[in-house]
Amino acid sequence: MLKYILKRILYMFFVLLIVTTITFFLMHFIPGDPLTAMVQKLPEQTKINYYAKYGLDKPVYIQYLVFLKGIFTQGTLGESIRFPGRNVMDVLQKYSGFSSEIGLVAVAIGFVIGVILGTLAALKQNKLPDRVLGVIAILGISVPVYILGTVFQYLFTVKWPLFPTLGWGTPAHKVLPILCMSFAPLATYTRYMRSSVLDVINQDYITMAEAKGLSFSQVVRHHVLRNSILPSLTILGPNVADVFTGSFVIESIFSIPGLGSYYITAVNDRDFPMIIGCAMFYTAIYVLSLLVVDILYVIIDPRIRLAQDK
Amino acid sequence: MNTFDLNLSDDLFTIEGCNADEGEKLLRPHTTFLKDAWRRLRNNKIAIAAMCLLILIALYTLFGTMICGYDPTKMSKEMNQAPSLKHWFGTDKLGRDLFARVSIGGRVSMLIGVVGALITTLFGSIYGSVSAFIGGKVDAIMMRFVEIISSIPYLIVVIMLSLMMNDSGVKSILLALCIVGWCQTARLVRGQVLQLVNSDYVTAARTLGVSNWKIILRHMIPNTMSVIIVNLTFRIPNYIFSEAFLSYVGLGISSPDTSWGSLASAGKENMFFHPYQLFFPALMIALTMLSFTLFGDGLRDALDPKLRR
Amino acid sequence: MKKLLTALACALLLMALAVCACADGQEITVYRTNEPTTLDRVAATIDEAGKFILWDASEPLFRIEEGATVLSGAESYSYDEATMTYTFTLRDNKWQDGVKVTAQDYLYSFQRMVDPKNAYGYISDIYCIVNAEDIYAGKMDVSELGVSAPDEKTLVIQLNEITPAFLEVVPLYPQRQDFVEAAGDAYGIDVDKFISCGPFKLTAWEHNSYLTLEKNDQYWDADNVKLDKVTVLITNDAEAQYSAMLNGTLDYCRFTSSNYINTFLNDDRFQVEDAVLPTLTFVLFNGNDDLLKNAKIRQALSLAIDREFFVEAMYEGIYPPAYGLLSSAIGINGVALRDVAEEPVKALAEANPDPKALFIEGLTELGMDPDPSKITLTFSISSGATTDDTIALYQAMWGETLGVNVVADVSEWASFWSDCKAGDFQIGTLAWSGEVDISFLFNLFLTDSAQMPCFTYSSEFDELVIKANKSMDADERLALYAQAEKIMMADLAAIAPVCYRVQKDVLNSKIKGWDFNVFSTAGHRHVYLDD
Repeated sequence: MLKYILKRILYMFFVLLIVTTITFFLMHFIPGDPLTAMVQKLPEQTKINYYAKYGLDKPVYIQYLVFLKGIFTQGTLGESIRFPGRNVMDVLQKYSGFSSEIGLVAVAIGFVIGVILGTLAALKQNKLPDRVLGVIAILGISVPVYILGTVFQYLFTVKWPLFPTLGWGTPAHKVLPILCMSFAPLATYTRYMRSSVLDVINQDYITMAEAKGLSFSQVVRHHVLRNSILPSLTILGPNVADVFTGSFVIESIFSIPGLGSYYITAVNDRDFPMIIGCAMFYTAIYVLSLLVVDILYVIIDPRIRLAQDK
Repeated sequence: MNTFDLNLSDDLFTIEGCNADEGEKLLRPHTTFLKDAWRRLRNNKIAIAAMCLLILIALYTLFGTMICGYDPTKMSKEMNQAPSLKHWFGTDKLGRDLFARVSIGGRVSMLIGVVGALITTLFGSIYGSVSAFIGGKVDAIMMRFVEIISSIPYLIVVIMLSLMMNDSGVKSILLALCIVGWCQTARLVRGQVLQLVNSDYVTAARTLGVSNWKIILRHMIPNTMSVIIVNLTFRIPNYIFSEAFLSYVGLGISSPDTSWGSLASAGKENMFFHPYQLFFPALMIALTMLSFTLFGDGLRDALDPKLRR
Repeated sequence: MKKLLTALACALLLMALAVCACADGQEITVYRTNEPTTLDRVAATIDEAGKFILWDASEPLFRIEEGATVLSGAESYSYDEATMTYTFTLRDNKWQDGVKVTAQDYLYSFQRMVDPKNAYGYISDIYCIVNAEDIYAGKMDVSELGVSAPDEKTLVIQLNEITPAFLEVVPLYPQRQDFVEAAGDAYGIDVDKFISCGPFKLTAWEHNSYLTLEKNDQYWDADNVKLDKVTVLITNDAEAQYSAMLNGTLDYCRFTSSNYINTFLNDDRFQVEDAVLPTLTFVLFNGNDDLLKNAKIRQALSLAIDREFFVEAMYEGIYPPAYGLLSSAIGINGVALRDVAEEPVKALAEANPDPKALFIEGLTELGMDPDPSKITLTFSISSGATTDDTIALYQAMWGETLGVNVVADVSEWASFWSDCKAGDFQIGTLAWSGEVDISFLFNLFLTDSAQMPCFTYSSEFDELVIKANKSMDADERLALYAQAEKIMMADLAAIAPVCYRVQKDVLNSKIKGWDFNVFSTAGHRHVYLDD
């Protein structure tokens, strides 16, 4: 098991390297650079000075090597071009923290409650709870998150002033954003869970367990959950990674200092160091979460053997 | 009552004998897998209702403009009007009839949603099953490949594609979504297949000498069907929303084409004053999602061999 | 249980006190739509948001208040015409840590500005200073700059050409050398890496969320600064701003939709004011294009735009239609160009009542097929919230009036703009804001600078503008600019003006002393709350 984890971590660095390289070159081939994003036509001299300052005048592959050198020798991802003086690594550390306070909590709530509701829906298949939960699940995904955000903002800060409208700093500031962001995961996991629980409870071993005399809750806990949670886990991995860039919309609406707005602004402004930094971060989280999910696969379902055991 | 108290004696029973023909009698009419699935689906009233709703929506997107008689791109002086007998869904801020706009918007959304979801699900399922079935090093390599593809920031891919293809229309968005989207399905299916790969009937089939392809197609995929279908019914609105998100950020469909996502995005501006501009596109998305979900549930129930009655 | 109740009571009491304190305190909350890139005034990427904060967190020599240029950090000044030299005498002012503000601080700021390593973007604004251009190009040393500080309270700036708008345009801000050198590249990005000598000091900055400015007691005019605290929220979502304004989170907001305004107009809690911006939304023609190189084609396209319909459809009629280059916000010393000159495209429209005929004339002159329906125009536009509607409107207007086909080419801003500058487009649309210096918008069209990628040039235009730029006589300048405007907008139709922008400012009705002038650099030092 340990060998497997180490091997996967090595793979992770390999994947990170490849994705970073691809993103780096893709990024440079899109027309535009941080300067063209600025409107006023800059004097020729400024352009030359500017490009020289950030090393943008060199050919792309040299820039790439410089970038790699920076990572391996100094452990730095460089500085943002659009926001001078802001170290990309620091930005990533600080603002991913804020994004995760909203996003990860929302996904966690969505996952836990979704799993519970989904199981309930499946156990009471086609009865009233199932139908009601089904509708809630649909609504949760049908309404685009930016609409949900604006409506909730108006309802709960203007109509019934319970929470602060904008900004960051107190736990009260986090309630509405988390609420808005948890609808979609909630609906997703409810659906997946319902489907896989339905699959499982029709299996023979469940009937066997019930016949053996196990209580209903025992059956659910020991047999149903373990066997049906895998598809939901599969989705959880990418979900966790998406939170850091997908929360952009909620961050705009509620003025939350998160990573999403840094990322979108960077792409629009062609702020190369920031784009690469965010992309690398996203990739690392994504690949890490995939690793965690794969390990959970093995823990939860003993039928799945690790690749080399076959 | 204790069975041991029954006074059972031989004279209470007579031997009927066995009818050899009875043993071979088929109690159910002969049917193929698909025919049987269709029969079960037909009996599921809710699924049928959902299917009808979907057909209605499809008809609306195809013939909506003809029904109301308005040109969705024609501007008029009747701006921001609430729904009335003249304009069933009201008008938008340029005076265009919303019933017609939502109708043509539906074409793009449904196209992106359905075609995109179908392509990615098809490709992803096959890829995932093959990967899990073969297992070992090949599985590891194939999955790493999937990781790499899905890790590339998809915004950058979208911008690149729309620039390379020199248009920001339906094609480039569809392509971008497909390129990054099939990965999730592949992972899902791989997970399910991994669970099945060591089960008895697969071992039996292999022992019998059935070719790998046949095993995948006739055993693995039908048994992972429920997950694939649920995934499919999620993908469709997911893609409709991805397109909406791209519109919000500025990379979506451009005029004169429109989609439900762009209409909802545009409706957000006037949300507090002309809520119907937002309500109708959002309603269409919700109804489409609802129908696909219920239909998908019914389809899943119908195709799942274990639920056979 | 008793402990819990006591704790609860204390908490409630504290909250009540806090609420009361907020209600009585002189505090306002305003907003910006973008996060400031930096507070280093001479940094390469200084943006509008950063400049905005600096009006409160720094003390320039002059400020523009209510449209007039007033002394601020400078107590007095003199200008010698013969040597084109300004001499400023500074006030007694202190930085927030008590250290005196000296002329050396202003000089240091200039030296950083011209340092080529800094790559300051707006450098062309100070090319008027002796040797600035050469130093920036690396040909001379920084010490040769025509700015000197003979003593602590005197700053001398020598120009190499007549610059009528010098006091308004040149950034006359001081910087503390020890702070800048200690922070290096990171100067101006955080509270501990910045120091203020203005009416307010920076006390908190949560990037992408908010900034807090509090009264600076060391400021020379601190007694007249009545606000204790200004909070600046960073928010770009119109509906969020609307909600925030309604429940009092924001004390000021700027709206463009009349829907929003109507909510506030009849409510006593708010006051609403109008202001015309110096911004022009226009259609850009590529003068190098085979079709558009003909002036009549361009004129016809310009005249075929139904400006009234456009502003009604896009902006509910809030924005005024534009028939000239300058809106009524731009002028000299309070006299707008629009006060003395009629918008030139209006006269053009009267002279040419049939744009289609004009278009066909142009086609014939070019030797092309005189049937407009055979022409397909490519309309480039950058992606945004109104892109779809804009495309639809132009397709309709040119399609119906001229009979041409129009296809759209949408790309996001950076790509769109780089294509425009490279001349890789046929027709485009964008908006450009003028500045307090009336010559700014005109200079964009000069053959030499060619900042406006319209690729249409006129030596007559150049002569008029250059002459106007060199004169210190306001009336003469206005007359010359008016003639130049007519050439570019009507005779050559290098661009087609479409509309100007108007902002509606909504404020908490308790706010007094607010400067509504669009060019104001007063900051919040005269603002106060009064029931």
